[in-house]
Amino acid sequence: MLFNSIEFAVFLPVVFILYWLLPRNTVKYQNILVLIASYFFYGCWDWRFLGLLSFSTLLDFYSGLRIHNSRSEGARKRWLIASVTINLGFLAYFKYFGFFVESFAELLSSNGLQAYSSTLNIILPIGISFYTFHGLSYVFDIYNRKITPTTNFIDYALFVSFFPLLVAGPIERATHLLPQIERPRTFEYSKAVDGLRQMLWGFFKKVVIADGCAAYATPIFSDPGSYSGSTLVLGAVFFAFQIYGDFSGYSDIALGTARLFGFELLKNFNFPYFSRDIAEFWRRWHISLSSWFKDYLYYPLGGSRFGKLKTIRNTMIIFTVSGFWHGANWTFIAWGVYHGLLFLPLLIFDKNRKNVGPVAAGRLLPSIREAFQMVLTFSLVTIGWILFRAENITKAGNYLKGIASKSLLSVPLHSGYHTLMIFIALMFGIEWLERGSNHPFETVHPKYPVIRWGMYLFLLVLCLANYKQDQEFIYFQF
Amino acid sequence: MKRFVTRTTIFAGLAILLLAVGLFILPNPVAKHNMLGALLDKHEMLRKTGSPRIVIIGGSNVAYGLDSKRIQEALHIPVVNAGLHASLGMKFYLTDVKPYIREGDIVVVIPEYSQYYTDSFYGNMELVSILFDVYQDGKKQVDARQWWHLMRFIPFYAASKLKMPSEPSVAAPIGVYDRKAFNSYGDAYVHWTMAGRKFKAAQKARDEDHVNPEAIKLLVDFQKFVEGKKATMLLLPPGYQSTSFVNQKPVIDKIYKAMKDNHLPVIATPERYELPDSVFFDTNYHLILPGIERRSDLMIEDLERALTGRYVSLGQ
Repeated sequence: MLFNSIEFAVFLPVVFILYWLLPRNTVKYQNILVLIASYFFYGCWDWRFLGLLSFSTLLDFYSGLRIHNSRSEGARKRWLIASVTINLGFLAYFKYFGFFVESFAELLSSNGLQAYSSTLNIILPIGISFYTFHGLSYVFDIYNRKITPTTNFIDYALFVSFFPLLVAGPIERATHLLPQIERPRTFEYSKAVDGLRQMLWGFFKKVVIADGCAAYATPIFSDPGSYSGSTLVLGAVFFAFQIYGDFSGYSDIALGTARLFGFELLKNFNFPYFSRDIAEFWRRWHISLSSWFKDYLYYPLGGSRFGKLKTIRNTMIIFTVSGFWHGANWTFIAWGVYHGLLFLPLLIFDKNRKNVGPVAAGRLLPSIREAFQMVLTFSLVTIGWILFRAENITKAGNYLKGIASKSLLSVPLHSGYHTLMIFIALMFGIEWLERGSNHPFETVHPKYPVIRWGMYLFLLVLCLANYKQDQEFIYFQF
Repeated sequence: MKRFVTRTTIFAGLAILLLAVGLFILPNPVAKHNMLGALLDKHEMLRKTGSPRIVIIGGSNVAYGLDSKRIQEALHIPVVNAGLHASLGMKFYLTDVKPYIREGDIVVVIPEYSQYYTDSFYGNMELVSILFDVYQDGKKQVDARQWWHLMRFIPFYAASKLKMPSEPSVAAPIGVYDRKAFNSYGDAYVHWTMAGRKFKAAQKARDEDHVNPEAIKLLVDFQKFVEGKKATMLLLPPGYQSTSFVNQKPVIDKIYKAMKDNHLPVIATPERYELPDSVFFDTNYHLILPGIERRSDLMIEDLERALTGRYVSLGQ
C-alpha cells in the first residue's frame, strides 16, 4: 500500500478512528491494533514476506533478552554475533547475492575464464534495509548497555513494524521510539492537526514536485546520448529535486501520520539543499541513516579518536558502506566514495563542523558568500546524483561526458516544464522562509481561517490534479 | 477528538464540494478536441456505414495501427475502425458498439494484452473523461461494479478539471492525439510517416500474471450477443512490439490458451502479429506506416481465410 494511494486514504482514517475510540488508558490494545494494521499495510505488498518480518522481529527480541541476561561477556558477544550475522545474512541474500554472483562472473570472464551466472530472480522484500537496521540498533544498544530490553513482545514488534516508518524509515532507535510505545498516549488536537499539515506538505513534495520532475528526468537519464549538455544538466537538476521531493516528502508523510497516533519520529530531513558544505549536507540529508552509521559503525571503528589517518579511513568506510546500503550496484558505491572524497578536504582542514548553525540566521536573505556556498554544494551534490541515478558506471560516465561537451552552452530543451519550475520555486521559497521549523506549516498560520483553509484546499487539489498512478517512492527499492 | 473529527469532516466536505463543481459544472474543452472526442465521430461512422461491413474494435492498437482503407479495398467490404483507447476498457467499448451491430456485420475484436490479465478492462481515467465530458449517454452503459472500479479515478479527474484547460487554437497544427488526427475510416493517420520515438518495452511477465476469467467471460457474452444479431465475431491478437512480446510471452501464451479453451473465434496466433521494434511509433502498440501496412496485410490474409466459406465472396 502506497501513501499516495486511494487504499491508504481509506486505511488511515479507519485505523485512526478505531485507535482513538479504544477506551482510555488502553495502550496495550492501541499497540495491538497498530501492530495488526502495520502487518496488514505491509502484507498488501506481498504477504509472503510477513514471515520474514516476523522472524526478524522474533530473532532480535530474543537476542536482546539473551544478551541482557547472559552473565559472561563471551555469551553476550556470541548472541550479538548470532543476531548480527543472521540479520545481515538475510540482507545480503535478498539484496546483494545476485550482485556478488554477477560481479564474480564478470571478473572471471574478464580474466578469460568461462563463467555461467544463472540469472537469480530474487525478489527484494520491501523495507528490508530499514527494519533490519531497526532491529540491529536495538541489539547494539542492549549490548552497549544503553537500554534494557523490553519484555513485551507486542511493543517490540510495533517498534520494528510501525507502518509509517516500516518501508522507508526514518530509521528509528529503541531509545527514542520504544518509550513512546510503552507509555499511555492521549489525543492532542494541536499535534494531530500539525500531523495532517505535515502530511499535506509531504504529498505536495511527492506528487507535484517529485513526480513532476520524474516526467522530465526519466527520459533524459534513459537516453542521455540524445540530449545536449545543457539539457543533461537540466535533467540532473530535475533528478535532484525529484529525489528530494520524493524522499523528504515520504518522510513528512511518515512523521505526520505517526503524529496522528501520538508518536514523534526522528527528523529525517532538515532542508538539505540550503547546506553550505558537504558536511552540513550530511547533517541535513537522511539524518536517521547518517546518525545510524555514525553511532554503529564510525564510533566502533574508532571515530576520530586515533589521529587524522584513521579518521580519514573511517570516514571513507562509512561513506562507502552508506552508498552500498542503497543498493547492489557499483553506481551506489561510486556515489558513496564520491561523497567521501568531497568530505575529506573539510576533515583534513578541520572545517567539517564549520557550518553547524542555521544558515542566514535572523536574516531574510543569505549573504553573497552563503549563497555561493549553497549553489556550490548543490552543484556538487547534483553531480553525485548522476552517479546515483545512472543504470551503471559506464552510463554515468557518458552522462558526465555529455555535460562536458560544447553543447553545454546551447539552449536546453525547454518545453512544458514552466509550471513545474514555478512549483519548485514555490517549494524552495516557502522552505527557505520556514527553514527554522520542522516543516513549513508548523509555523505558517495565516490569521484568517478562510485563507488558511483556502491554502490547504489549493494544495490538496493541486496534489489530486497532478496525481499519477503507480508512482512509487524511490527509497522503497532500498 | 470531537473537534478534530468535526473540522476534518468539514474540510473533507469542502474538498468534495470543490471536486463536484469541477466534475459536474466546469467544462473540459480539451476532452472533445483530443482523441477521446473521436468517439463521437466513430459513432457517426457506425451509424452511416451500410452493412454488411467489417467493424474493428479495440484500444489504440486498432486506432493507431491499421490502414482500414487498404483492408476495405482488398476485401471489397466497408471497414469501420471503431478502436480508440485501451484505457476505455474492453467492457465499455464492447458495450458501446452493441447498438450499432447489424445483421451480416463482421465484428473483429482486438484487445490489448493487458485487458486480459489485469482489471483494466473496466477502464480508467480516460473513460471517466469520456463519461463526464464527451459522451454523457455512455453513463447508462456503466454498471455498479464498473462505477466502483472507476471511483478511484474520479477525484483525480475532477481535480484536473480545476486546472481550467483552455480550448486549443484552431490554427494549431493537427497533433497525433487530436480528434482531427483520424481519417474517414476511423484510423489515426497523422503519425504514419513520422519517425519512431523511444519508449520502454513492456516489462517481463510475472508468474502471478494470470488471465482474468471476467475478461474472457466478457468476450464470450459479446460473441453470443453478436451471433444473436446474425453477425459474426472474430478475435485477433494485437500487433505487438517484438521486445515486449518476448518479455510478455508467458502471459501471452496463457491468454491464447484461455481463448482456445473457451472456444473464442481467434483466427491467428499471437506470434503472427509479433512485429519488429523498428515499425513502432511511441508505444509497443502504435505503428508507423511500414508496420501498419504489414499488419493490415496480415489481417487481410487472416480475414479472407476465416471468412471463406461463410461468405461466397466478401462484399457480395
